Order: sequence, then structure tokens, then C-alpha cells
Amino acid sequence: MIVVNTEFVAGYEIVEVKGIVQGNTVRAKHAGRDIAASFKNIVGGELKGYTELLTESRREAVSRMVAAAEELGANAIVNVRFSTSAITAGASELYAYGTAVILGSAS
Amino acid sequence: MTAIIITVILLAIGFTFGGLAERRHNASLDEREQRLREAVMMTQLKSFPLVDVNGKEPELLTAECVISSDYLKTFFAGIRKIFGGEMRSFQTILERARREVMVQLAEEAQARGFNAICNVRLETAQIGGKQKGVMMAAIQAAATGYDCLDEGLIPALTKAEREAQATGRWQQAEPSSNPYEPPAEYRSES
Repeated sequence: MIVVNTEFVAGYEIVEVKGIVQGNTVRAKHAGRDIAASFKNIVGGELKGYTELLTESRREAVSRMVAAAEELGANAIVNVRFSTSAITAGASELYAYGTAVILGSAS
Repeated sequence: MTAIIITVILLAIGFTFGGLAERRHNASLDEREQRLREAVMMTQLKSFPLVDVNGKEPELLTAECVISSDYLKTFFAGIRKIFGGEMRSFQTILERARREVMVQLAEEAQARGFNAICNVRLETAQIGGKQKGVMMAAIQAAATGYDCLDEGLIPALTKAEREAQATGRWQQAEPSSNPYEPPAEYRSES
């Protein structure tokens, strides 16, 4: 499965467009991380817990999107976009969407 | 009185550790940017439609970074809010987060064997909206990694352009046009 955020893939041609596919996830870190984050707010620095939260959510959302594309019989997803929204304190929704296509090698 | 002392202590902690974290981060960013500038060609072109690829499938690259404000920065921002104007202290946090994700993208590309990146998109991520008093810069980025021929991206593009002209695919392009600009058939409506 080729997953890219460009509209075209160099070296390939889009043979068939299958339609939009999406995957989302809402995730939260445990309260301990939130407390640690508020302490971090005094000393500054990277909030590793929240970075992890985003990485995990992204992985999850992409894998759900890929599963949806596989169901449609596509072999690639192009023009992938991500968006996030804050649901409550310490939780975030990550939404990934793209267009499932069938790629053939460019002649 | 104790409240003032606690505030002063917190400000001192913010000044010491926040400043230290920022200096360290900036130094590491400078060093990594220097190293990656040669190795990875980074663009936010929408795609490389006619580039010569080495037969390696392009892949999605992602990076994210969340950086917290320190007590001193938050304090200064609070004062700034009274008078209005540019919030320098928060601006540096956002800048650091953006540079960090860009460097991470380049590092990931290098680790996976790509030498060019296109369509870099940076976005602020929303985490825990109304948590009070926690200012943080959350940036997420996505891009596509390509493995282009060794001659580099620009010669590859011009070579592709020559081939495209030979096969009649680049007819509409003017001779003086921007080599980065894809032909009309690839151009998006946006």
C-alpha cells in the first residue's frame, strides 16, 4: 500500500479512483501524564507524553484508513490529510483522510 | 508575602530550566539542520510528477512535537496581554516546535533511504483544549519522501522536462517558465 500526501505519485499512473477513505481515533493519556504536563509548564521543555499521544493516534488513524482502502480494493492512498481536534482536556481526536486509488506503473 | 516568594521561586526555576532547555534545543536544531541540509532536499511542492525516481516507492513521512511554555514565558505573556502586542516568548516556542518537526521529517526520510521530500504540511494540533493555564505548542507535520536520482532533484526535473518536451507532454510550458511548475495536466484546481 502506497500512502502519500501528494496528489500524484512519480513513476505511477492513477488507473482508477475508488473514493475517499478515512480513519479516526480519539485518545487520551492517563491523568499522570496530564499532571506531569502541568509541572512541565513551570520548567519548560518538550511534553513527551503528548508527542507520544499524537504519534500513537496518527498510527492508529492511518491504519484504520488503510484498512478501509484495502476493503475497497485499492493499492494506494493519495492526498492524505490529517486534522486534529481537542475533545476534552488531555484528549484529542486525530482524523486522517485521503483518496483511495489503484495505481499502475506509468507506461 | 509567601505568595510573592513562591512566584519569585517559580520565575527563577522558569528562567533557569526554561532557558537551559531552549538553548539546548536550539543548539541541537542548528547542528541537525546543518547536517541534513545537504542530505535531504526539502520542498513543499505539491508533487514531483516528472522526477526520475530510483524505483523506490514513495512513502508518507510524519512528525510531531509538543513543547511546553515555562513559568517565566507564561508570566511575560500575561504582562504582554495587558498592553497588547507581539508575544515573543510564545513565538519562540512555536518556532522551535516547527523547526523540530521539519528536522524530524528530514531525519525520518534519511533513515528510510529517501533523499527528497515534497508536500510538507505543518499544522497545529489541538490537544486538550480548555486545560487551564497550560500553554503548549503542538505541531504535526506530514510529507512525502522520494528517492530521486543521485544528480539531485533540479537536474532530474530538467531532464524529465526535456523528455516530456520530446514526447509532447510539456507543450504548453513556456521556455522561460519555472522548472518546478508541473504541466497543466498535473496542476490542481486549487
